[in-house]
Amino acid sequence: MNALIQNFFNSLALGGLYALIAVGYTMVYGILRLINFAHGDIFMMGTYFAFYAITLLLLPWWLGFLFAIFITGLLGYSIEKIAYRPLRNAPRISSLITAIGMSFFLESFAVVVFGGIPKSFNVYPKMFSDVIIIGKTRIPVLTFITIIVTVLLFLFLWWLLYKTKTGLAMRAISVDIPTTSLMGANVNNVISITFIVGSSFAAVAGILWAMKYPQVQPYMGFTPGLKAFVAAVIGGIGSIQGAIVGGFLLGFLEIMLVGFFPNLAGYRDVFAYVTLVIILMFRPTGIFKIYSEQKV
Amino acid sequence: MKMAENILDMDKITIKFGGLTAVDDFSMYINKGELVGLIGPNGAGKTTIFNIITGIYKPTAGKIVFKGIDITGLKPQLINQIGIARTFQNIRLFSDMTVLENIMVGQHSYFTNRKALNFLHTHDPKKYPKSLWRPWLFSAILKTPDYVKIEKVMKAKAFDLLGKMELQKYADFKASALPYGQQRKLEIARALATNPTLLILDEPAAGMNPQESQVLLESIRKIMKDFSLTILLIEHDMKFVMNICERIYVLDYGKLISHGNPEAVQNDKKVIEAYLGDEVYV
Amino acid sequence: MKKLSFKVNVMLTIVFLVGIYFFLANASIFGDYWSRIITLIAIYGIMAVSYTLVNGVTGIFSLGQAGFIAIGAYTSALLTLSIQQKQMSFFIQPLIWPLNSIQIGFLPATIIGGLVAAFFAFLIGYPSLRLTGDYFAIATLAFAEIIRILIQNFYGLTNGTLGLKGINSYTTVWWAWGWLFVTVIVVGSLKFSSYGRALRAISEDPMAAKVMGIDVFWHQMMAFVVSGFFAGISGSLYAHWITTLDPRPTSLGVMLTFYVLIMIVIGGLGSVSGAIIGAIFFAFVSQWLRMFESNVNLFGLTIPGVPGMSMLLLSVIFIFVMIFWRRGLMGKSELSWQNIYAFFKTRVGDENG
Repeated sequence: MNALIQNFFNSLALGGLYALIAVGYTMVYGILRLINFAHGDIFMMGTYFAFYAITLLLLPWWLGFLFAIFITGLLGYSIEKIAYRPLRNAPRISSLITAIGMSFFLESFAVVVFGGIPKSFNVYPKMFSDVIIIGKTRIPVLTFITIIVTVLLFLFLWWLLYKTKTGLAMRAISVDIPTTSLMGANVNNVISITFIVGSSFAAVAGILWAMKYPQVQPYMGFTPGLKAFVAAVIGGIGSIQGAIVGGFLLGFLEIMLVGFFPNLAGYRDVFAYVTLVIILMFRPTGIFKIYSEQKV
Repeated sequence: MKMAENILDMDKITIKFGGLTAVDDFSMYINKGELVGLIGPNGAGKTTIFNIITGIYKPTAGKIVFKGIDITGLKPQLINQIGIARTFQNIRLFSDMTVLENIMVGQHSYFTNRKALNFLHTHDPKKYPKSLWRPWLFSAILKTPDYVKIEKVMKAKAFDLLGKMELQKYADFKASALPYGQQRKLEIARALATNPTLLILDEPAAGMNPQESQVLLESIRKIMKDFSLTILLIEHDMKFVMNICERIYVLDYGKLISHGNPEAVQNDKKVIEAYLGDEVYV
Repeated sequence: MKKLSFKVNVMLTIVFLVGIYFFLANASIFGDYWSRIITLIAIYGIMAVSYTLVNGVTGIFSLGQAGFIAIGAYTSALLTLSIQQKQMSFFIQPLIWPLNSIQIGFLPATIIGGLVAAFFAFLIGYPSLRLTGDYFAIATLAFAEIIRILIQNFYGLTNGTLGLKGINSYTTVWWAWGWLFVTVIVVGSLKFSSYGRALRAISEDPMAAKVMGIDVFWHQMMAFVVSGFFAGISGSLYAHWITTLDPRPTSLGVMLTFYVLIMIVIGGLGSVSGAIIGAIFFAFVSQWLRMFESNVNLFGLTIPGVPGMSMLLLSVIFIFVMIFWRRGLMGKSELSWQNIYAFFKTRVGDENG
């Protein structure tokens, strides 16, 4: 029972992280039909920014985190502007290749500038790693923080999408770019905002992730990135609700798999990828159907 | 009078996309050697019917019989191999390949694929003999003598076809470098390269001036005779259709509203109503 | 433009091949290090040519190349490792029968490596090829990762994270370049056959290809399997070149796919000769830039090296090519004597005029 409650909270936290990353994938895909392959590496860059903001710029931890989130948003903005915008009218596969190149660039950049050796991410207040004991259940403070931050960010996202003009434009563009631009929305600005929001969310997820597995390294973004993409596909890529639901679902399935079959722990990623392939094959639209099949 | 042989028979075809019925209870037959037109206002479902015949869409209900074979729901490539070839409304050539290569792509499955022949053999062993051994991938890679021979035959036949379509001087041009009218012709030639018995043309005269469409009309008549084809075509240009077609089907909102020879259709009240206000008819 | 006669073409080709032969025969004069690089170029060449068959000629975008390379590498390495070496390496879990008691020669092991990789290409292609575009790319990437994770966890078969050590360095210049020759002949011959025309048609417009009677699924599958076979071959050669294997993402994982992707994008997606040029370029640039990665001694002054520089520069080149020069060096066309002749002819003509 205790294990079950513990697992429940763990999966909420892990699912929240997946959802935070997945939102970035799904928003970009919704608008540009582009799998932003570099998203996992933006997540990685976010953790490095936080690390150096605190160790090098000697900012207090909370300011360092905010700084990192801001800089990562800026990074997402520049990536779109430099690498993706020139290819917006190119074949979709070309943009995907460019995104792969961007991912590769960010990883190499991190190796060169930050060094290839994993760094210990011990820049957060010690109380975060405390454990709250309720009865016999032990839940780390960080888990609670993760859950709370995730919920707050999704509330913010909801406000942004449904209560602001920008959000309206975002939703309109994801349906039809030409028409929306005719109606006077500045498509480029909206796309930029999408990248900034998605990247900042990834930075938050990155910082929370780095505190959970307290180290950072240049290739840390690949697996969480790919798995968050799986989450986005489970939920129905292009749908923000889908990404959130998919993230939590994947988190739950993964924690429960490891919880109930401990000797399959090494295969948890395999499990996620197999899920991806099965969903792509049998229900490519995911849970929340956004895109119907293309007409001939 | 000898009963004409029925080559294509569409029986009560219905197709729905989501809640929308694009084609409703549509029946049509085509006799061997006929030239049949399918007309109707924009969005009436003409191209959808072509897509159903060629296997791109599966009808929700109904049956299509071609040369006595039930082809409902077969894959497009198999339907093509059994003998139906088509062109597209907006030309879809392999634009990065040369004119000759476009033709040879059309010949590819005819010369290398045993699947269709075996399909026909299982359907009617008496009429269709079991396929002979045909060169396959490894002979193509190793360039075995029989493959080289096949390739030679393909090339000769392709040049022959280009000659008949008066395209031979463009043989080494990239398909995209051809003038518009020649591209239309090449698309027909590519369809002919698959050795069809029924050729389906989706707006062959679209974007042509009257002189060009007159030339096209002549060449369609000519290839029909040369290749002993049956032709079904969609066309917006009424004059063109009335000139060339022996029978016409008129479609409106996915439903058959009229059918008969050109005069009968032209004088049909329903047809006039459907086209009322449509600039094409005026 | 004057067309070069068949005779001239054949003669130039013979001269070219003899030239390569003498170059390779004397590769050792460049020293051990460079003759190893010359071998590596051929291995990269095989990887790139097999990859361009799928991603360029057929126009389906796979990200699974590293998976097939890994399968070929592990299969052949397990077959050529000596029995004592296997007993020594597999100390967490012993190697399963019958692999623990056999050792076969390099050539059959390489071919088996290729066949096993081709078989996996079939297994993976069967579900994945039903997907299109970026979905296919992601599915193949997922499968490649699955393969890597399985390798990482199957201690009884692959020695898991410990990897394989002490693989004989059988891959000589001749083996590598010989296999590259075979690969180029096969892929080139395929590209310029009726099947190749069908593949190119599919890459341009799959729907139009379908109504021309081409079975798109099986043609793509055929290209995918042939590509998998040669990827497996290149894996085997790679294993016997580098002599140790491990399943980290940076060695036989997605990184390797990126490397090969860089080669074929620079060379031009869909061009066999472009793929080889891309491989040569990649090998040279990555080796040349290694200089900056280790410490350099300059007049007694030690300049610290920066690891990772080569990959950083290559990724920048890669992105630049994608944005400004998407057809790469060769586009879809091939290097032929006719093209070279035409190229120089126009140059000389310009000078004279």
